[in-house]
Amino acid sequence: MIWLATRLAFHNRARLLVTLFGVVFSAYLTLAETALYIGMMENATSIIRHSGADLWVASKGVQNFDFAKPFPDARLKLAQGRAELSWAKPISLSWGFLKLPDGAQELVEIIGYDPAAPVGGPWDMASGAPGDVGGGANMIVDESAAQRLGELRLGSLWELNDRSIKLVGLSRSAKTFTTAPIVFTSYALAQDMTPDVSRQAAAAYIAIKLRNPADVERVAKALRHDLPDNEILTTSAFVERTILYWTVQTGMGAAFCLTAVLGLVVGAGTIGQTVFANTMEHRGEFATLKAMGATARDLNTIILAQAAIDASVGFWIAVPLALLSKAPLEKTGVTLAVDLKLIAALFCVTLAVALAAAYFSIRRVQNLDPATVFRS
Amino acid sequence: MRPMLEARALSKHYQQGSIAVAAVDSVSFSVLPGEIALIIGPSGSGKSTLLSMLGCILRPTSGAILLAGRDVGRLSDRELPRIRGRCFGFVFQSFHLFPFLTARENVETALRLRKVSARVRRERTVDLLARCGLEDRMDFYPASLSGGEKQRVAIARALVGDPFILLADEPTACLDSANGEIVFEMLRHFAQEKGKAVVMASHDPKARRFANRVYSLADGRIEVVTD
Repeated sequence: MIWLATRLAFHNRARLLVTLFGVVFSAYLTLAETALYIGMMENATSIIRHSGADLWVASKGVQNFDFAKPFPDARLKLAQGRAELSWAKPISLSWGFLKLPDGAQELVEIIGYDPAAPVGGPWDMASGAPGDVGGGANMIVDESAAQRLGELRLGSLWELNDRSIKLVGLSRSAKTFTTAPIVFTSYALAQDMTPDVSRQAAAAYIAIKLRNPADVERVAKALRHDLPDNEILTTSAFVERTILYWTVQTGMGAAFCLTAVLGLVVGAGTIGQTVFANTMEHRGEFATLKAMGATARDLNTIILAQAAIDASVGFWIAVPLALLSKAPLEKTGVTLAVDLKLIAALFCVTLAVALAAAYFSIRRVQNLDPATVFRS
Repeated sequence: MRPMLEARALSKHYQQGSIAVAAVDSVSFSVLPGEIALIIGPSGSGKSTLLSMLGCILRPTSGAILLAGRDVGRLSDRELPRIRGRCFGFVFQSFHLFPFLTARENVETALRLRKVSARVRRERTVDLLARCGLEDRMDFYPASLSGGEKQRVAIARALVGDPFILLADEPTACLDSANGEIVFEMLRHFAQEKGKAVVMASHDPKARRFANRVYSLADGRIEVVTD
């Protein structure tokens, strides 16, 4: 019966084209919105996820990685004293202005880390090494920032917070949720450059690696006791909290969700309408099939297969379009996180929605009186 | 000889407001293997309703339908499509061919419903269409066929599954005289050569020449039977 559905779906080419236009649009919208959302969440949590840490010491009530409230880095010693720790490293986070060659200033997120053990630093380098920020006023900038900052030439001198700083490396995939470029530098220099005196000798986070990751809950509990003015989070809890903040508290998640759902609704509406129109146009043929002995299952298969064909063809046209728009979008600092898992998941969702959209057609055919074939 | 198809006191009543209207009222008739039974009567006399009930498409209000001696009127909704598919072939006044399928594909559909293998489907379809004089029209869509060719395709579709009974509703109504003659000859061949039964409703005066029995239906009742 799938054969018959295919013939029926491709019979009216004009209707098929209009349907596909709607389905491609809706599938692209759903795919792009979901990929954008995932990309933004990946960017918002990238440093946490790539740090290699098991635990994070943060200020009380921290809501997401980018909005850190510093605390005295002397507390590092309290944390470092524990035997279960493999290492504990401070990370600073502040915002500053990078002066561009044309005199304009660009807001950047400054991440300071220990160059000797670059926890919180870049994890994927296009050129240079994470340790290169040590030994002077050096910085590493993500290559995606070229759109905002202009040419990123190794060895070039820049002005960060009115201080001269040399570009010594280019990282890959290190982006923020806000799309502000990340400037990686040494922990010491980041402290030194902070104009706010209260933020000097202050860490935004202490990243901790345990000798045995299985001890994470026990060590977290002990650290909460030792550092009552701080919040102790596991890496996964910190990632979840950051995602929750951007998704729920800013209302951004609802906006993305609404657009993605709208995409699905447009697709479902288009497919439902087309399959219904096809069913109504060919109800005489459906009645004939019923009279000829087609079972309810046969007829349902024809209708569902039509919906599945529309959804599948439309979706698989939308996928390359989404992949093609990935590179131009990423140049602007936005990440479109399209991968096989997402494509497969959204294909299943699109298919399910399309099949559900065929409900009214199925009802109509089930109630169709095959005796109409004897009425000329 | 046991009748291939038999109706016993078959009735179909419809409710129109508070009044029960009898579309078919206590009709009894039978058709033997190798016979053509012709049902005649004016429009609205109940011919189509009777054919629908005989073909297990419409459930009677009362009475029994016996297919080779077996009462099929009481079968479940799941069993009826199977009985229709295996035992009956249908030919309609307005052909009801699938416009998006070629002549060959239209005929094959009946075999696809029975899950017949592709090789057998192709062989039987090509053979039957050739015997219907349509060997050079097999890959034409219905829109490109004449009325006579369309009805021959419809008959081939009805016969390809080798049914026991062929139900034909005004099979020549949309055809000219010559094509009508061809269609009646095909029905006679099916009945006499294959020993199958044909029940046909027709206004065509020529139909009487091909029928073994003629039933006259008026206001849902059989009035005259001619052997």
